[in-house]
Amino acid sequence: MNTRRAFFLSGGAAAVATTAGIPGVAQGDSSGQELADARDREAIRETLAAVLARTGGWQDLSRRRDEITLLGREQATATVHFEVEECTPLEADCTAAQMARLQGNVADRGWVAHCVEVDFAKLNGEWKVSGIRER
Amino acid sequence: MNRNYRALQMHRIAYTDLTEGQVVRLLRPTASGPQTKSTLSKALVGQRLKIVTDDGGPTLEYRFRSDLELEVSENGGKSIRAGYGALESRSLVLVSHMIPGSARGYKLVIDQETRLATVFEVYFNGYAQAESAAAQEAKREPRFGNGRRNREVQRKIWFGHVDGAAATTRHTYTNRLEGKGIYWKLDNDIEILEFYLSILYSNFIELTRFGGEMTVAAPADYVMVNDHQFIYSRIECEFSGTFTLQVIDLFDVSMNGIRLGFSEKDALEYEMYAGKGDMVGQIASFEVFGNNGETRGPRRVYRPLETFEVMTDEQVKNQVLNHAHAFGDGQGSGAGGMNGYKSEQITHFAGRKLTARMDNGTTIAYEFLDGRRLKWRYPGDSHWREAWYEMYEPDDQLYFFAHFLDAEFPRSCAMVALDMKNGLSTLVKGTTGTQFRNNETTPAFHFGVFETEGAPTPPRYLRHGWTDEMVGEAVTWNYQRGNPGLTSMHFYATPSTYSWIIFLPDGAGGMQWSSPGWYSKLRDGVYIMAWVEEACNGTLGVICFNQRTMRNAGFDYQVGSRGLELKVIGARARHAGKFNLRQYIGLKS
Repeated sequence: MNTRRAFFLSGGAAAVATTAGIPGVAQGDSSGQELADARDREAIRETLAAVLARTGGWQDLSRRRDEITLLGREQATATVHFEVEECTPLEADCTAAQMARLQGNVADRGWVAHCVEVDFAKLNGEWKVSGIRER
Repeated sequence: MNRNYRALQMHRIAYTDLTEGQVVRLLRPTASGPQTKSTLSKALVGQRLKIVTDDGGPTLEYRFRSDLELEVSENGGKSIRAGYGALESRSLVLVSHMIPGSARGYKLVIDQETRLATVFEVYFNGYAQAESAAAQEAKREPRFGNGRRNREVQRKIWFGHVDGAAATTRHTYTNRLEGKGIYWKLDNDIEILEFYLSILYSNFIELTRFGGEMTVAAPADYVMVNDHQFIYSRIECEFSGTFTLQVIDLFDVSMNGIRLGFSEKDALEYEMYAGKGDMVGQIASFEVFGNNGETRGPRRVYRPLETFEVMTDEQVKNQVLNHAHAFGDGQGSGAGGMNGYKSEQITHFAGRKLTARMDNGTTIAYEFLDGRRLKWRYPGDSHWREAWYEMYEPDDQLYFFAHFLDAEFPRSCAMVALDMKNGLSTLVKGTTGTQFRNNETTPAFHFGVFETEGAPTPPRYLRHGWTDEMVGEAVTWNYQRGNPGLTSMHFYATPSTYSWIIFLPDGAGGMQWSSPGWYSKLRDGVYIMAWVEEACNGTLGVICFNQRTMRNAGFDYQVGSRGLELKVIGARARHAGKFNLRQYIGLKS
């Protein structure tokens, strides 16, 4: 199918980028390692959110926190659930289709769920995306 | 009714591409205010008003010196004297004035009770700049194929209030006029039918000025003052460029209006008028409930005269002779475009011989070779010609098929309806070329009978024929799955025209255009309707519309840079409503 993906920002995206809800940190009883892990996870989430924002936004599908696995101190993977609005363009060449396209109409649109695994690498103290795979 | 029929309707008039200087000179008389036969309002005489608008709009300080003259200061600037006119409708005052020596002015709607105000800032000589900016943003070349359109009025709409008022609300854009049609009798002896079938466009039938033959479409703005008073404006883009603004009161179906522009003879038209109306109907709208259109998107302008290609004789000749494609050259029409709901193709005529014999002498003999190929010839031809065809059954034992006629030049096609219940036939012959463009098409309807084995003896005198039964009907056509996807609404406005409206993504009416139309009746509730998208892309569309099944079967015939094409139309309909407008266009009710 000839589809064009359009990404739309919604409230769900913000949940990923916030600092709310880092497990254990608020209670002040974590070890130094746990605190460092929490900071890494949060930095990764912010990196991820920034990347997605640059693509035009996205919508959190699962309403659950995405899974981040730290692989040592300089590598990590994240499993991210989201959905994008996929649009099928109007292909017809008639006047009606030309007018409809001018208005932004598409043949069909719908939200499609996706899940990707994102690889991160820490370079110069900053987490960077090093690869993305669709699951 | 005084009808002024015209040799050329609006879309065929070559309006002068006036220079900026010509426009300014022609506007000089506007300095003394609009012409009018109406009784002007004195409501503002002696008043000083400061109108403050939102979103960076102008601040206008007025002193109304009399009922004919005002002083205005824009954004704290020097005060300027100008002639003006004002008309009252309940608490609303409609004010019109220009800025002397310029090509711009203001139209105000001031509510004396709420102290809310809506300002239309209007100006000529603005199209080229707007087009250049739009082109730069879209990274394309600006389009000036039809000139710089200095005569076309531009408008900016500013919502605001009279300074000192405690108003926190504003007039708003609205869809609350959408679906309405009104006949207007104006005090300047003009009669007009207006249809507000979109939130961005409107169409109207100029009964007096153009004889009422055609409906035309113009981009429009709709502003809600309250539940019964609205501001409606339109600009006759692609035509004269004339600006119209009206304050409409639905309680007593009255209006006050302004007309500003230049006639096809480049004469200034600047007048205010009042009108009384009759509601001719209210059809359905298709937004979800709760959507009142306040936050509409940009009002785009459809410019077919500018954007569609005009081909030379040689280009057209090359396309029709060397690049003719009917139904994918026999591979089938696919399911895209306007045929997403085409019905099952009829193939059981394979092996059948048939002669369609029209009353005017046009006769075509057929041999159907299989489900996609036929042979045809005119009487006296020694050789048969082979053509691809597709056939459908829009009503029980009523068949409709089409194929190219390649025996003559300009090239033609035949779209043939066969009624197996009575032996009647209708042939719509489409031919390329008009006196205006070679890449337009022209239909010719022929009514008659057909003969084939097993067909009934046709009646001697009875024929399919012209009809006005569809006049006033509005029908949505969904051509493909999707909402709205490729869906339009047809409004069958008169026996010789129709208009189509393309829905916006939220279901509101969006862009609109119109064309001449032809209507014939085959059976009760079954019609053949044809249109040509004149001064647009030139396509001939012919549909057999079954009002019981609410679907169509049809064909479109078009020549362009992709060649000469014959394709299938197949769509599903919903009835949107009907306007009772027959008496206003000279038809019996």
